[in-house]
Amino acid sequence: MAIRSQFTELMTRDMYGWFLERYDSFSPVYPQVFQVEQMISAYDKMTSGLGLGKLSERKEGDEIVASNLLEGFTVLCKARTFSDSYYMTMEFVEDTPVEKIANILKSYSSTWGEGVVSTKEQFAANFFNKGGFTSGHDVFNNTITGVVDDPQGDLIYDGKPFFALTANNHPAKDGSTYYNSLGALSLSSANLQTAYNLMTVTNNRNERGEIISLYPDVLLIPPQLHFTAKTLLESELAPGGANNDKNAVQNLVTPVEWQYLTDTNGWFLGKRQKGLKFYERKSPVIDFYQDETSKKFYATIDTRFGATVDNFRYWVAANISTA
Amino acid sequence: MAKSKFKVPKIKKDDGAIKEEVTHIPQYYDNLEKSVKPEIVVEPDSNEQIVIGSASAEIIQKQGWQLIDCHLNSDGKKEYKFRKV
Repeated sequence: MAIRSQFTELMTRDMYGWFLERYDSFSPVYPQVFQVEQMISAYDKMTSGLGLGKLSERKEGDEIVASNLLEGFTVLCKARTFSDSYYMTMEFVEDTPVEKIANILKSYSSTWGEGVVSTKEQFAANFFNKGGFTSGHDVFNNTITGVVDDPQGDLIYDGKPFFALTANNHPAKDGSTYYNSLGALSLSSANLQTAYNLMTVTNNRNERGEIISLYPDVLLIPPQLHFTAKTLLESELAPGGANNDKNAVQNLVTPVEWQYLTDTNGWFLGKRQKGLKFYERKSPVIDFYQDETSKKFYATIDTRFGATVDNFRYWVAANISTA
Repeated sequence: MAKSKFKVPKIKKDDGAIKEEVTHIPQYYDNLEKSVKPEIVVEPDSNEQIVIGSASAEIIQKQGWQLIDCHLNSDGKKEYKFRKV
């Protein structure tokens, strides 16, 4: 007969197996959109892309021109903790066959496998679902009370929403201003071209106002726009016209459908794994133990991760909510 | 369905007797009229207007108005607020 500590250890080990079996069966979207990195501390602090700019041509014998060091925006990202637990009473465990208990734990562990992926997807998608909110959202707030203070609160590093309208532009360090929310433009060929031009002609600048290489490669859409996007991006000839014009946006970008996007007609043009970082801090930890005072058996799961915007220029949104 | 303001002329047979009389516009005219006319629910002053529905909002924006707010209203529809620039 197994003693209690062996019972809980065996169950914990089995739960990991069931959890991972389910966890690995998903193909989440967020790693396609965010650059996924590891974090080893409570938070990470970085400076938004600035660089020292271009090199100057130097004539023979001339001195090297020294550039002024320009400090970029400070970007913060904290590790957030996500947990779940359930318990079984001592009486329930004692009166139920071990096989039955194992089945219950297997069922819950498999659910957690799906739940962790779903939690990460939901959290990551909120950068788009709440990105246009003029007052910001907690998903952008990287303050840890008593540890680090995010001076921009619920907004991104420059004190603006991730997706800023023309009336509420992003400021750049050289004094320029930019917007990356197109307002009430539906997904159409003309509007997709407008978004493309905004990214590649207007917003393709660093904090110094110098041109950077910036080409979108992905169209992020909710399922409701699946067929519109397919028609738009895969038709050889311009859809809806009678003149057999070439479809100027055919294969311009790859559509990525994300079921966690809640704005049914909102759409996003962007560059994969650019401008958004997702930090994995702690892999899911499962525990199964007996509380000594209540004698209940608890199963818990705990994981930590976080995400942040480090450059808005790689994304343009349209038809999204501002509140 | 409301009666139309459009009138279709009476068609007479060769002998002069009335063959058919249409007193309302076809359904699609009704729909067309509704679809192209933006539904402006509030116009507090000449510098701002509120529009319901993304199709109507896109028309207003392309007329040069600047979007300043967009949210789901109590009916679950998108409500857009524009400002004249």
